[in-house]
Amino acid sequence: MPYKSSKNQSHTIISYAIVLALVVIFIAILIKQKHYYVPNASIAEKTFAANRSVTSQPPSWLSEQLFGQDFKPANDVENYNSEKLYEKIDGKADLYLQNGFVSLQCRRYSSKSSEQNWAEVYVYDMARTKNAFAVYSSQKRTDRKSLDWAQFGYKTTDSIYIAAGNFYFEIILSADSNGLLQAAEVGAKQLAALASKVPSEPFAIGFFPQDNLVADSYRLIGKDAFGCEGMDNIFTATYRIDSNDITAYVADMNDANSAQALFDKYHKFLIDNGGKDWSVNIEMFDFRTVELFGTIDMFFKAGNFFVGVRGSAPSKDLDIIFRELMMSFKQKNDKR
Amino acid sequence: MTNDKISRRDFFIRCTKAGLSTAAAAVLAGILYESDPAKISPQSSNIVEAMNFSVLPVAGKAISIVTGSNRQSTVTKAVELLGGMQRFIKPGDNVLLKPNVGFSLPPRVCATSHPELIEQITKLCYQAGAKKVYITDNPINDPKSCFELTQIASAAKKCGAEIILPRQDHFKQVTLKGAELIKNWPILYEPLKNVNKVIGIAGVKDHRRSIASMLMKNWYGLLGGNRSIFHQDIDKIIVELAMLIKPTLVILDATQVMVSNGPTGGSESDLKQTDTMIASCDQVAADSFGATLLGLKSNDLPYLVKAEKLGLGTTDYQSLKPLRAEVKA
Repeated sequence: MPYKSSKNQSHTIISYAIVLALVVIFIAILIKQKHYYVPNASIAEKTFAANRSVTSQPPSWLSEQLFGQDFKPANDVENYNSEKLYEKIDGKADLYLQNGFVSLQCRRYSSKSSEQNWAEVYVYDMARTKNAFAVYSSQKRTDRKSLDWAQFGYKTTDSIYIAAGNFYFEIILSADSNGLLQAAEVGAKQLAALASKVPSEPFAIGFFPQDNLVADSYRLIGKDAFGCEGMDNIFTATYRIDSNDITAYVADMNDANSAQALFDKYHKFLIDNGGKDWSVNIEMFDFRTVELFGTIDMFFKAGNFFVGVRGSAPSKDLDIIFRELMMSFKQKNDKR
Repeated sequence: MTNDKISRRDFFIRCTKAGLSTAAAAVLAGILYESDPAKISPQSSNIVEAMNFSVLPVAGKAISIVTGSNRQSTVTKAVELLGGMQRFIKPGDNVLLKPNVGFSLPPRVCATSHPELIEQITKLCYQAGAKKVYITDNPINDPKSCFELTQIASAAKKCGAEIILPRQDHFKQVTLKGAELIKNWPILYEPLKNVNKVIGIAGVKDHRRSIASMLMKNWYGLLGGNRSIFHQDIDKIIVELAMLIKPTLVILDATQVMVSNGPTGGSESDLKQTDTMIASCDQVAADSFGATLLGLKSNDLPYLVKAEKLGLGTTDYQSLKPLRAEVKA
């Protein structure tokens, strides 16, 4: 019996110890839960679509030496994916999200001699060249000065903006300072050079010939270009011959059938609105020429691209740009 | 050795006890387990009607519009036209300034409230006898760097205002009576709790989502949590925030207006010099006037129309007979 009693006693002690341990764990969980603060995260999770992962970018893009010896990083590189983009740029995030945004990296650099002089660099990975151009094109400042070393780039007195490859770069300066702007331009060149090394698809604007091109005249028409419903995402450039402006346009339709459909649709749109077919003798691509209220449209389809020129300039001038455009597409097609 | 053996009866009793204990523990855990972190907060949800910091209206002194390029002069004049800061701030008052400190951008790009303006309003409050002036905002970017890079931190230091950087324990789950969105949502409550006067300060900016960001939109900075989900219903949340906060005074700085690429801008190229300062007791009226500086009508901004319908103010700012003045530099 004493043996049994001693055994029971030890069981009781062990039981109490276990219960005590459970109580301690319970209290610890209670305290821990009381200090949680993840407000409405579940609602956010339900609202946002699946997380898109942040793409890996070469870490050297926002390197310590980006702005040269006289500048130093003022913070670590910040990373934002599509879910977090609002945390950096608030309402402007929509523009990027609607145009294929993948990730943003930011870093601030300050002058070693004066910390009041700083610049913040924004590197937007837009996944495709046309996306990068779309966000670049839709934010152009009025008092910009083109950067002669970049195809798509300009500066103001206090900022620099560039679209290069799949990337869009912004550099915002804290002060209107020539020294700061020069240092930022050095950094911008490095970024553009790095972007050019990242493989990217052929970009519609790359087909525009350079002769007679008005500098920095590239545009993106998001919707219903030239009044034609459904003619969306058309890249344009302005050419000038003898002070007459001619608009060239290119649409990347992703496949040949879609390009053909837009070709037919635009032709029908012009004819339905009173346009008349013209006959021009060029042997290269299948094309159409339509005159409507003094404006001449000449357009063709090449692979996935729908291409054309339009304007009220003399037809011989339109013809020059049109032939150059055709030649450009032919050369690039032949290279493939 | 036989003592080690337990009877069948004991065995079943022990098994039943163990089973019941396990079941009880499981039931208790099930009751206590909260899978939704939203419901786990330092404090339980506080149901509020509105946080009213307003002062009694004075006929003919509801809105003033002052032109001039010097923010400090124009804001002084604009407040003076409404009866001076002593009308709004009494000796011993604790005042909270709620500027826009949303971004870590320099003041020159006007994405945030201008430090010179904050400095002058603080001075006016102290001159009227304020005991303490606090400044707070829950910025989009890192709070500390936002206050520093916008130079609002240095302005505050200069004039003796205290900056309250938002901390987790400053937020309280709030449910606004009659609201659809502000339900059990974290609000930057602590700084509001400890003051008896609140002054809203904002600029006039183009905003890709809400069309324009001015005084009413600026209360967005009181929201905690993952507030970007409200971008889907931006007009409604702006109205609900205006329902939540009835400020003592609002100051709309339209010295430079961000006419493009808002709300962050990034360059002085996005700004237009309009040299105007507005002071008002009616934030709907002040925003309605501000809209005109962006080339908009109040009807273009659904949140203004909605706010007027709810009696939060008038979009017909002219009906308040704005007091006007010009301050030459």
